[in-house]
Amino acid sequence: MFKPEKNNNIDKVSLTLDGKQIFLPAATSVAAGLLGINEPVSKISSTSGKPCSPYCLMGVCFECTMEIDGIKRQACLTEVEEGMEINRGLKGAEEKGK
Amino acid sequence: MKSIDIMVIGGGLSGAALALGLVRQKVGKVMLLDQHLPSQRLSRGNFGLTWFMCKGAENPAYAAWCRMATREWPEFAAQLEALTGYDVELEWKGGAVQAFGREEFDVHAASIKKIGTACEEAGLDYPVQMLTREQTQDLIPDMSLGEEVSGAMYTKEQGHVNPLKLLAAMRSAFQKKGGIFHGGTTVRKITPLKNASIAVSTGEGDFSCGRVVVAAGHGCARLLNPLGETPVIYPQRGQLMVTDRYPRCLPFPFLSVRQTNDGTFMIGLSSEDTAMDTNVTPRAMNTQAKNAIRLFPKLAKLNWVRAWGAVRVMTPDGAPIYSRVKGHENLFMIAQHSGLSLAPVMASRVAPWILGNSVSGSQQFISQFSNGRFHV
Amino acid sequence: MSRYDVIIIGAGPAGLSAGAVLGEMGLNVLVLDEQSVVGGQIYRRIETAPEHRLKFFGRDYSRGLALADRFKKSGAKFEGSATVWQAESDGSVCYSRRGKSKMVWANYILVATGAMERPVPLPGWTLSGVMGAGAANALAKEAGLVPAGRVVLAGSGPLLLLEASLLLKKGVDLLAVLETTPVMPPVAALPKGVQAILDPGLLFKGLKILREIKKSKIQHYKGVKDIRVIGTDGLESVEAMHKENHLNFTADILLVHFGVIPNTHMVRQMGCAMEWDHIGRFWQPKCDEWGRTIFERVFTAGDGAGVSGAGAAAFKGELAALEIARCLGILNSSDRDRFAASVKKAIKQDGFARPFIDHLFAPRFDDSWFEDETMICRCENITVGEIRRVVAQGVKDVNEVKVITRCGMGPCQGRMCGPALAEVVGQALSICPEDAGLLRIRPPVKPVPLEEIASMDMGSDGGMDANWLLDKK
Repeated sequence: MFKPEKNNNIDKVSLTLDGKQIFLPAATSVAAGLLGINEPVSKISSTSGKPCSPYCLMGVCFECTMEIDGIKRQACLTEVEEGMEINRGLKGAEEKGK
Repeated sequence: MKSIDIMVIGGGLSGAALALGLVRQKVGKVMLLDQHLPSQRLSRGNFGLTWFMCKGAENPAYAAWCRMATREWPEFAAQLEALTGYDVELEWKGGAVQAFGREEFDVHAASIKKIGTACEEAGLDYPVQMLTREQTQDLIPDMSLGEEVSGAMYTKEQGHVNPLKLLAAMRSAFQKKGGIFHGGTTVRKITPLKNASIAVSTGEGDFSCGRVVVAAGHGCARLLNPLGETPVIYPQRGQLMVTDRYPRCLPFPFLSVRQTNDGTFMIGLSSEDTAMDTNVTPRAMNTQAKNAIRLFPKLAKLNWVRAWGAVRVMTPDGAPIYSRVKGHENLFMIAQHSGLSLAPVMASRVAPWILGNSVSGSQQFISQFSNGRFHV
Repeated sequence: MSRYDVIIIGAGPAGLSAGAVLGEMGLNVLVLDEQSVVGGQIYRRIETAPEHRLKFFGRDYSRGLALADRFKKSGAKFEGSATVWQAESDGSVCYSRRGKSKMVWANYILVATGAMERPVPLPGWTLSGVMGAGAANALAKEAGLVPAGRVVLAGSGPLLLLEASLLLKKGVDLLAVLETTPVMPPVAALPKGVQAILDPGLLFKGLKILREIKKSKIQHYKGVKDIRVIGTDGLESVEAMHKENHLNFTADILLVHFGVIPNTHMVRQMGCAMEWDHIGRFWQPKCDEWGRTIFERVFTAGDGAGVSGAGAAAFKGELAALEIARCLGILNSSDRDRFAASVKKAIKQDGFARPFIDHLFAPRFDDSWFEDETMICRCENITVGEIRRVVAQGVKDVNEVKVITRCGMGPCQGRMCGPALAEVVGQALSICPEDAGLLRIRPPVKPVPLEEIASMDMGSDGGMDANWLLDKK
């Protein structure tokens, strides 16, 4: 959905996303980092059972909430850190619906 | 002036349940008014327990009255749902009061004896028992108890509902049965007329009413003071907190923690004497969070997402007030805590009493809940 | 340190300029922001922006550098990644930072929480691929990200057109701009146009943007209606009506923008009185010329106090700071007035074109705007139809609608549904949204883990040290 502009050379850090190792640019939010590597889905809505994606990127909509190091946090307000563990809980989407 | 047979002032849990009971009796035009006042919304601040355990330790009639109400709950909820299509989310899988340490365990055990005797004398059962820590843990396999939990007082025969859905369902049922509901309406004045009917001046116009029931919580005083009688009640704040949704793991409510039908945890039951202040205080949040984690350590990682304060309607002995206003045959007042647990008997027993047709087995209790008992 | 002269919530233009002024006076100032660094939305990541990005966004962005620099040198303390979850008019502030919550106190609190895009529910707006235009702007500033694939822009307001010109400059595959603003400006806007001529720079900028859009030959429709997003799990296409024509664009991204509104959750949680802006159709805190709310010790400044843009926000931050300094005994009234005179003049100059723009892009929601099937509350999955059903049962206040439907009860606390909820309830009852009420905001303003609350240091007296102010001054 988004791609980095051409002259975008930033250091990368290593994180775990749903059990897999990924690399995101340092000094960005988790939400921006994930959008930049084409991971637009942030969670499965616990009320509709549908996938959600970041909407506002400024801490208002809560659509980018994901489990980061064991706690559900707004990814757009959480700075990327080396070794972070992110779980989006994308499996079992259908069962979660009302 | 428009004419109404019965006017119920106050559309909270008590008023709505009573009004529903009245329309079921087919008594003509019944009107229910609610003010939607931000400070007096305790029905929207309810914890949601349909509970009898522990209630009435200081008042045997109240203990028995609560037991009677909970026995009617499953049937009451089923009828409401069938009529309105609302799912009030009643779960009838029991309830527990946790004990921390040996001493608290013994105190709980003693209370079972005391209230059990009161119920027995009224011809009712009191199916409550003490469980050891291990027995308690066995009942909730998906939720680990904190280290300090020594056991719990437990009954199979109570549960919890969604209080907001319940309120909406009762109002809807009331309307479906022909009742007239006005939200956001203020009553300015109640004036008894010479022909024993009562004039009520409201934001929706003036009405001449055959009977009037004031079930306006802390708003009762303003309306009834000019007529020479006010219910003996005082405000007591409770603060509640709610967490994010989490997969269901707590099958029945504990006194201060319950997991709702949609997965959120409600944590609560603080009580403070704070007049009409509904604010949320960090101190109470801190204490309640600590207690909840002490009971269920797993809760530590959940997010607290909402909180609110609500002001309970408390009487000196904790029991309800159902009273005829002195000198006015057709004017009644209802003021009570536990409006949710007592909703079924409001409809099935208090409503007929207002109409002068007592249901057998009710009068012995209702007569003990007069406002006059505090004036001896 | 847990006691400050002033705590400022928000490090955008208003918060930074107020913080700088107060810091320079030697006061003990703490500035908190949810983001890790200063800048707010408009100057997001300004301090670390590479040269090409500063150049790309131009002066509207790069002028934040000087402000951030001034703030840094002022001596005011900044804590980023700090989420305030409760603040009270007694000067207490609770916030969460790096897994810990704490409670601090200040003599004065300045709330500078800025603005947010007005959330407007559309059919299909919950699908992945639909975002605020401001979100795309933020991603570009924060991480140098550019939309990939086919993009449609829709909505109303000057920032919509600005975003269009930025996307074009980046070479994004922009398919169309769908403006809901009517072709003819509303009559009320015209008299304001005369005054707007006093700000030729801004008008010139607007015309330049329009010229760029025209030159690019992308499809630009005005007076568009019935925008809807089609897709199953993600956006597949965008549909709309233009006059009698059905528009249909197969696209990857829809960026929507319907103007901006004040971000008011903080002041509402504190209990500040609010007032309704009839033109902008939003709530803003009631305050005096210095930004003082109904509470003696609580101030607001910037777009959070009423939308007027970044330039004015910085000036208003300065005004609030001057009055707070006077209250703290640092300035006398005549000095305050002398310093404020030039700031007030600058605010006036900055605002010449504002009434014209406000009227030109005034939001209008007629009865057909919101469809029954449209999701209004994203958190709780509640549709417009469910709201209407409850209103039909005799409910007249948004807070009552909330308790029955759960609309506005999720983690976002009505940030995303509140404005539309008031419009829908207002329409159903044929009253102004103002009279449908405003959702009550209770702590926590943002979610906090229970373990943080449980391990918070409450102090021996629970923190409420009422005489502290008197002791100190």
